[in-house]
Amino acid sequence: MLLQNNLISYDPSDFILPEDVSENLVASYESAGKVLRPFFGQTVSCGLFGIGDDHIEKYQSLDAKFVKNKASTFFFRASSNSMEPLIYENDVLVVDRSIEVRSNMVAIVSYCGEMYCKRIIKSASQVILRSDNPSYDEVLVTEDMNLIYFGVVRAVARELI
Amino acid sequence: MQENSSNKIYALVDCNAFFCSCEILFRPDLVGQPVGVLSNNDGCFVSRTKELKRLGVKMGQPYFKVKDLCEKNGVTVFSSNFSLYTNMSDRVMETLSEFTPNLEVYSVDEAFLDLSGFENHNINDYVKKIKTVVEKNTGIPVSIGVGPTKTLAKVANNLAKKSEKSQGIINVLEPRLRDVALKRTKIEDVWGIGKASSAKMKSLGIHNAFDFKDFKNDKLIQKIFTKVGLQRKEELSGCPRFELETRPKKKKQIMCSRTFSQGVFDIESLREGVAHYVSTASEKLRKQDSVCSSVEVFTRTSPFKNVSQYYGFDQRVILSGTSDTRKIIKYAFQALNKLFKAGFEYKKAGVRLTKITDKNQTQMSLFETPDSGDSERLMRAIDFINRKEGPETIKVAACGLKDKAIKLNRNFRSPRYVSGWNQIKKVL
Repeated sequence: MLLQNNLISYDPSDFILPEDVSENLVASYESAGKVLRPFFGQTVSCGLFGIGDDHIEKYQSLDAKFVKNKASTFFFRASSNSMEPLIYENDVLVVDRSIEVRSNMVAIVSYCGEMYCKRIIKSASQVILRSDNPSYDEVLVTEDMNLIYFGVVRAVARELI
Repeated sequence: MQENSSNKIYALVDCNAFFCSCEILFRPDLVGQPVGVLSNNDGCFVSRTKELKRLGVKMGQPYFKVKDLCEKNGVTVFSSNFSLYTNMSDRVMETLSEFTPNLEVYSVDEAFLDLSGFENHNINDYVKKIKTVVEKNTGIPVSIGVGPTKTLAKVANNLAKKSEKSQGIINVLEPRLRDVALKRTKIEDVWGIGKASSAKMKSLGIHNAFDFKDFKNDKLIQKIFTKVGLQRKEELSGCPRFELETRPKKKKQIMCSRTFSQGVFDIESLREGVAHYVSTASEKLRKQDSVCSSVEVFTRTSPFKNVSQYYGFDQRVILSGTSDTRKIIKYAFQALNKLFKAGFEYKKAGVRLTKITDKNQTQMSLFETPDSGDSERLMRAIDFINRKEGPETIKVAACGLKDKAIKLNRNFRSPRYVSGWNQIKKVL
């Protein structure tokens, strides 16, 4: 709450709640030539009506856009050209474990002890791991591969400079 | 005392072999393999996969004692990677908090949930859902025990972890199932029953949790094991005595000790070590807004090595409570000078801050000036910088500049997968 005689210009020490005002403080204010008066809640509005708080918006945040669930989001780095032209080497992959893998999504999977970023092609009878780069072969998922889904790639971040 | 006298429902969610699970999440080649994580300085095993347990490696066992066994069986060992574990712990707790606001983070890998209000037949589905979502979203496998008290939830959890059939969930809300569970729980596995207590219990003929619950003489229990012991007993029969503690409790003593990577003979190196440990401990002290008025210092030779043995201990009282690193170091050095004996090969040292009180309730002393405002501001600034820029960015000069002898061994540390950008996991 503001002191009435300081409505326009004030310094931070003027933000005093009435219940915080101890006798010492009153004394120091009085010696500084300031007068404490109770504040009754009415303010005088100045300036244009309507362009105040209602229109203050937050800055855009990449986290808010791409990290929908902080607890389930992990970052990986692409280290091959197998998903070009979608993903290039050194791109940062934003991976969300909470998303259910559907056909045609790009996901992080592991098999035979290694982690891969691949497009998942699901049909009724089989699952295929496809690389967007046509020079890589498709991989048909078999049971003995012990395929594990890590999570779905929600977004890709690439530094240009 | 009536069974089911309340309608409370508690669940204990516990991460399975937590540190190992964190490591394996980024190392799919280690799924189903014997894996272990070592304590600070690569000393002892603090986390083991069930494959490693099967090889006979025990919790707390020194690594060097089973090094050959590990190498022969292709065991993968890791140094502690605490930034990874705390990050993963946050994720698990965050996910759990979506299921109930009534959550007590009991340790880095355990949380109590208050699920009171759910009907008994719904609770199993709900708990199953909690398990599924935590495992899917974080990749960390968990076991869940459900019971009418925290102690019974813990009993159920222990059994859920051991039993393959339970698929990681055991519910002992039903009194019929509860007795079976209690009979299968050794007395030393009951929450809060330590080594000394369980020995005393056994001398009373109490060998498992059921014996304890059915023990007729409550007065004797209270006499030997105090009020808390009796409360444990009542919890085992289904009467809640311990509520969720959602606010962390302040520590009554703070300890910091380390094993050196090499033996140390001179007092200078020990001084550097002690200064380090005081710095770490007093930062924790300040974090909980406390002061201490006693500091203890110990150092010892290696009990595993065939050298002349010595254990030195000394304590100093600080008349006016303090949290100033420099002041505590001064007293710790006095203690060290007193206990140090030349000619021994020291392998470990540590400090403990005791007589801890609230910063604002400290007693004034006639003979000692309390921490000044300047001291407080300086410590606050140091803590702030070290939190922001990394531990020991600023440190007291007594810690030394080379850290040669007291440097930690971290020979098997995994990359910083989840903190920073340089070491994030690569995929093909």
